[in-house]
Amino acid sequence: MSALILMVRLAVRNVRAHLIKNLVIGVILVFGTFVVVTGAAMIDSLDVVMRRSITTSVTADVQVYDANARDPLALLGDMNFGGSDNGEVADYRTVRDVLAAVPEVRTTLPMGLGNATVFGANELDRTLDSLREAEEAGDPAKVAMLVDRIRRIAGDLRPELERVDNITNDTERVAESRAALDRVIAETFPAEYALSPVPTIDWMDNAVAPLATDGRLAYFRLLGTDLPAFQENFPRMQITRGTGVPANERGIILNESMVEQWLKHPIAREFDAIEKLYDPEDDGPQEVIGESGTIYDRVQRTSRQYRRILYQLDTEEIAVLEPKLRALLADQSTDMPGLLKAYLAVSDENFATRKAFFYTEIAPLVRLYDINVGDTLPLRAFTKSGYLKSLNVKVYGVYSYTGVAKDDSAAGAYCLVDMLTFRDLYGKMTDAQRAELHDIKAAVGAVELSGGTIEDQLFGGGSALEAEVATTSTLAALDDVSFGRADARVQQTFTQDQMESGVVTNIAIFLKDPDASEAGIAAILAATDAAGLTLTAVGWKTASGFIGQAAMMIQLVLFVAVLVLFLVAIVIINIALVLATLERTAEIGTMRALGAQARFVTLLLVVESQLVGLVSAVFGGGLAIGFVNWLNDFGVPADNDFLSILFGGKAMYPEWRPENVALGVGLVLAVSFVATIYPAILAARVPPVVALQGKE
Amino acid sequence: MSGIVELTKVTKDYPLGKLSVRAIDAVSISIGKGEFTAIAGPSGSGKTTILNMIGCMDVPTTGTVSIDGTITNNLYDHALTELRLNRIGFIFQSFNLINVLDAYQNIEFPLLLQGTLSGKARKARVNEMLEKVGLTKQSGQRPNELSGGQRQRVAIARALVTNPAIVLADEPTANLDSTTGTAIVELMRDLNKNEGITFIFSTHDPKVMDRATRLVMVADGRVVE
Repeated sequence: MSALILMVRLAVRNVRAHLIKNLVIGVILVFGTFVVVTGAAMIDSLDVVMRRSITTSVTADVQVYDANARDPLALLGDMNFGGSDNGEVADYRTVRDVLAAVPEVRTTLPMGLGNATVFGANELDRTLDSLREAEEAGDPAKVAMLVDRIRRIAGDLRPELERVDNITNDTERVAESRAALDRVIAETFPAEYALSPVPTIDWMDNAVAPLATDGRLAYFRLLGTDLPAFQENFPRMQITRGTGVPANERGIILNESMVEQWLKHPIAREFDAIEKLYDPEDDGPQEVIGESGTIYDRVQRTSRQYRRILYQLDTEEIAVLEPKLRALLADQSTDMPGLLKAYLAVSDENFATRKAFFYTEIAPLVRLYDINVGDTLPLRAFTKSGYLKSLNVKVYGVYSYTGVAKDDSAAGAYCLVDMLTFRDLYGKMTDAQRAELHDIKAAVGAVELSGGTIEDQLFGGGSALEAEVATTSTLAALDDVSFGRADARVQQTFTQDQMESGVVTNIAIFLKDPDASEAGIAAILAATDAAGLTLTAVGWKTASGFIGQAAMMIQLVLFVAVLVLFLVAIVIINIALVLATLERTAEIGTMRALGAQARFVTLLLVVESQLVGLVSAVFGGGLAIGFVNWLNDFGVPADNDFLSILFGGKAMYPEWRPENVALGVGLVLAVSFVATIYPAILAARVPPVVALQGKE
Repeated sequence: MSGIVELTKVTKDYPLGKLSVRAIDAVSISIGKGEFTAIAGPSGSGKTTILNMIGCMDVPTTGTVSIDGTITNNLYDHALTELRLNRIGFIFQSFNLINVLDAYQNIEFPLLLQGTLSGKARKARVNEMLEKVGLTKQSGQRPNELSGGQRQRVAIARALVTNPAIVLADEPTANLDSTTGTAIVELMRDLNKNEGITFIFSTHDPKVMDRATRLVMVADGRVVE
């Protein structure tokens, strides 16, 4: 005890005596503690907010999918850009029943992942559709208005055609197109149309509509699921327009960011995009339109897209808009295309006014979104076997995730469809459908051919060609087969039983105790293995893919930074202590001569360095706590969409935990200790005889 | 062997590159309890090596060293250190006080290493030693606040505080002026006479040699008289 008193007394006195050296070491260690405590608090907080954000958006606590899947599950995106093959789970109900018996599992949800496209019609197509409807409805005023619009569009396309003529060799086709446009533009066309409206519409469908090229292809990420259960279990999903899909009905809920990205009027989207670059909350370099550069080029492209507005306007609407445009632009021209081009050529000075004008004056006259709630969405997707399949689905609503910035596309921004539509779209059959197909094959006498005998089996095995002609009776057998699958496509409702029995790509699982995910995964795997199911189970972080791994990357970066920092600290402290030990050789020799054991000298150096470490760690830890508390008051802003996903909102409010401080203090003490080992060994080797040689 | 210090045919060789240098050669000395012995000789004669052997800071190449009945030749560092702590007091030419400790704490240092006395007893013992060397008023001063003579008095008190069997002093007056040196030697002599403490010191100062009750002359690593 007395030796300890002596050691501490000496250590304290020595630390004070070598103040400069210990200040240098202390500053390094204070910085190290600060980085570790702040970093650990940030990572822990990030983990908490990410879990809250991601598990309540789409991943749930655990995901189960095919153990033989080619690609790992990545619900929030991966490097395959949606082309991942996550395999299949043959029957959801079987797995659900197995999981229902696992005590850790609270609830399960079926999921099906895929991509789909929607080909948006061009403006001529849409106008022709409206014209057809107006004819059917017997609305001559609307017919006249729409014919007039078609003539204007044709008139606008005519100069384009001349430009095409200059760069193509297909003069015959250009001549045909020119003739078609000239016919529509001609003053006599309305009368000509009135004589035979429907054949003329059909003719325009084939000869004129293809000349307009403003149709757009939209890409959607689809998530098939039990929609009411999804809404119930993922509380961050909020319907912003329309409603959810009623239970056991087919339908789709679009994701708001997808709608904004793919279905919004292109001019509105451009205005939004340019405004986003001006966002004062953005910490990036302030961008301006200026007279060159990316944003300027974007404005130039936008001004050439005046047709996106023009083609959607009726004569009456033009009559309303034109004077307002003239007033805005202080231009007396009556050339509407010219006015629109001038209007869209925005600059830094007029951008805000022009954008406001668009939303107040133009947006009410045009279609702001290609697809609206209540419309039918023509989805197209490739089945696993490579066939392109189309399906019309009613849009019930639009949703977004609460607490996420405008663009939540990285947050698993899926358009949500019912499970049956998903299966139909991707050609995933239920057992009943497979049985039905089997019946069809049996009815038509289809035989499975395989191996090297295909030719023999097809052509009879001999040299003589044998061909079996299907008899009337064989074809008649088809009449007995119920084409239930085809019926299902048009059937807008389904039973819970139909939804639950069949293929899914993955299953979302909510645990009773989300904090015990490892135990939950182990229990799930044990149950599925025991049931003979070849499934794998992953936690939310792994299942989320790129974003979840980004958090791990951040952890890794911090770890490497701390490692480098501490390695540098160890080297610096080591050198400082070695030099200090060499300076103190006489003192150490004296202590040894007076009866201090080598162990005492070693411990003395360790106590000294631990003292410096402890004081530094307490100071650094205190600074870190203050800093994290400050961040907690003001928040760490999510400057970009990626961060807003990670933070689950526009800012993260980090909190420190005692274990973060313990980690920082512990690491710094460990670093101090490691850095002292070599100098301490050197000190212990100082012989007592040095005392007789040394000078005071 | 009847002396408190017995050196019998002690030889010490130090390696010097591929060669070795013999510092002392077949030195035999016997010093009895209570003697006030000076080991004298010119620089490089081997007197410091002899003190190293007696002070258990080094072990002989050949021969035997016995300190207060303990033969040190085969002792490990730990046991030699114990021996130094409990049986030997050291007074150094350069005082060798610990700069970060004050006079009181320097004297207390060996007692704390021993850890045998209670806090109260330790305090009484340190104060007693301070009084003996006449530094009661300077107990709270650091070495750099003391004169050379005062520092050496602190060193003497530190050497004596554990009641050692032997006190070794390596040129104790070398860094002191003549008056102070004489005073220090007188102090050591008084302690020797009054308390029977065995003093062995190396010196080449004739005045100091004169005060010794026994003189061991060393030249070229050998005892010459």
